[in-house]
Amino acid sequence: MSWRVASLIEEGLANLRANAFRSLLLLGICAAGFGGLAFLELRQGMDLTDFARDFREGGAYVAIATVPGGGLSGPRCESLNGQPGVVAAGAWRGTGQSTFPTAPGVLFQAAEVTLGILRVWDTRQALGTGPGLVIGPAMATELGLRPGLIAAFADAEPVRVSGVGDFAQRNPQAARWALSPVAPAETFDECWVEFEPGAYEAGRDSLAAHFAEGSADPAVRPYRRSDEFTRDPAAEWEARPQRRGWVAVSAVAFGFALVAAWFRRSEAGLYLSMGTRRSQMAIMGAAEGWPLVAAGWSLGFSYAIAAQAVWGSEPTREVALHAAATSGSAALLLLAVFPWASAAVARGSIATLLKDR
Amino acid sequence: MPLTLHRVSHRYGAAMPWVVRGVDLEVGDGESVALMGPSGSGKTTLLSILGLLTHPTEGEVLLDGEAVSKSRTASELRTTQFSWVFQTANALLRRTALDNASLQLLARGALPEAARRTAIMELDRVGVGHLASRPARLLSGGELQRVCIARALAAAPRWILADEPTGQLDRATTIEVGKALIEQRPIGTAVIIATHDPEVASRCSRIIRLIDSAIVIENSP
Ligand SMILES: Nc1ncnc2c1ncn2[C@@H]1O[C@H](COP(=O)(O)OP(=O)(O)O)[C@@H](O)[C@H]1O
Ligand SMILES: [Mg+2]
Repeated sequence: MSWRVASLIEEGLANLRANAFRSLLLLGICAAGFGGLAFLELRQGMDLTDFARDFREGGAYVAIATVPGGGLSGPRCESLNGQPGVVAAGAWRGTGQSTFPTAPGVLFQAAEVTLGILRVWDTRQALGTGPGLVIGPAMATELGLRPGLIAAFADAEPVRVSGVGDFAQRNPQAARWALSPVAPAETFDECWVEFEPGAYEAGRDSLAAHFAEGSADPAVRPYRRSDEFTRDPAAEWEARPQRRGWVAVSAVAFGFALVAAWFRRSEAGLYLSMGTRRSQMAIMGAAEGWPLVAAGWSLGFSYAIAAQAVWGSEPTREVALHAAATSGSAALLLLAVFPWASAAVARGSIATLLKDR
Repeated sequence: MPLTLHRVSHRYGAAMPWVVRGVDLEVGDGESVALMGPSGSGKTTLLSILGLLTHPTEGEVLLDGEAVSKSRTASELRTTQFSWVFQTANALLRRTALDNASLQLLARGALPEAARRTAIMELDRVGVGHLASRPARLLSGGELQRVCIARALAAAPRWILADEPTGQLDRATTIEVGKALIEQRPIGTAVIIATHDPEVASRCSRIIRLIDSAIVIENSP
């Protein structure tokens, strides 16, 4: 007859309560370790998420196809919409310059566009898709125009303003442009295509071939040129150092558990001298250690989420899950090794207790 | 006789001197035996041979007439039939006296309730029942040693082996601990005590004197 499992668990819990100071210390170490790791993940995850959004809005995944002298096929450009990896595609052609009777001497660029390009140029994706004039923001303030008003160019039919674009990020020159949506028939000057981040490079590289049919010598250029200093959020996330940090965090926490166990090695020896087996010591150790590890993780993770929300941006669900997975791996590893701490340092079978003085 | 040493000799390595030489000894159930002798005379070694912890270099240990080998059965016998009391009281200092006294029973698979009931009786028997709920670290040396004795007695072992249990205690406490261990032990439990203290030895029914690793005198007081 040897220990009942229930007695071992009770014994472990009793030791947990009896050594309140030591328990709180280990709880604090777990909370700090897991919480710190989770916070690193949250902070870097959110930094990269924010950066990736700015990067995308800045036109990092936009490519522009042109044909020297104009003559790019409008239908071929428009047909890119709805293809896998394409966010939006649209074309424009300049139709000369105009003046307004109310602002003599000020020149505005007039252009005809397909609807898709409004979605490439304006990241809010909020422009109407109906007929009517879309004007740039500088033009709108200079002429006092806003959606719903009628604009009358010097020598053309008056036309209703359907929207004011926000082109600052994707095409700042268009601030003083007046855009008339037209059908994608015939030819245009340029075709702008925005890709999904993962589809950008392949999409850009195949763009020339897409236009080769029906257009002579198409050229493709990225909206933003990249160089070796260009950050790549996806690669940065993959290479983050704390990714493997969970092993280190649980190793350090286990180190503290070992030190704590070492101070109590004579107690471990006492259990051994009563015929307690090491596997039974581990059950006792689990009853004593698991509540600390679990509570430490919950506490640390909650603090990390709160700290990121207060000092950074509110974590997204995806980033929070990453942080939970990384810090949770550390906690799971510690759960696995913690029970063996006291058995590992125990010295003091009866023989050593007899020799020990 | 239940526990018998037959021509037992021991040394801690081939090139080492003999620390126990040609000892024949028999201990019956319920006996009380004192092992006396100067420091280094082999008391601890002899105790650990009697407690099946050390397998003698030569000779045999017989339990109920059967030779005990180095096997697994020896380790099982060791945990079920023997309890130990050490010179330095060895306890869980942050747990109560009662928790400490229950330990050996729990380690032998007793139900918690039964273990506590027996442990309280044993604490009473050795005179520290009123301290049951006190943390062990707040007990005096003699009180704590009596808790350790209660822990050993509670499991109702067949043999209690005590290695200088009063070695670190003052006179008055030595008398209390000696009483608890020898006179107040349950009927049927044999106690074998290595001690320097003639007062403790005089409470035993037999005294065995070791000099130069061998038994020189065996007498009843
Ligand atoms: N593990 C050991 N290894 C080597 N020598 C030992 C060991 N244990 C005890 N001895 C030696 O054996 C002799 C008897 O020791 P011990 O049995 O502890 O005597 P006592 O308990 O009477 O003081 C001593 O000379 C001691 O140094
Ligand atoms: Mg000794």
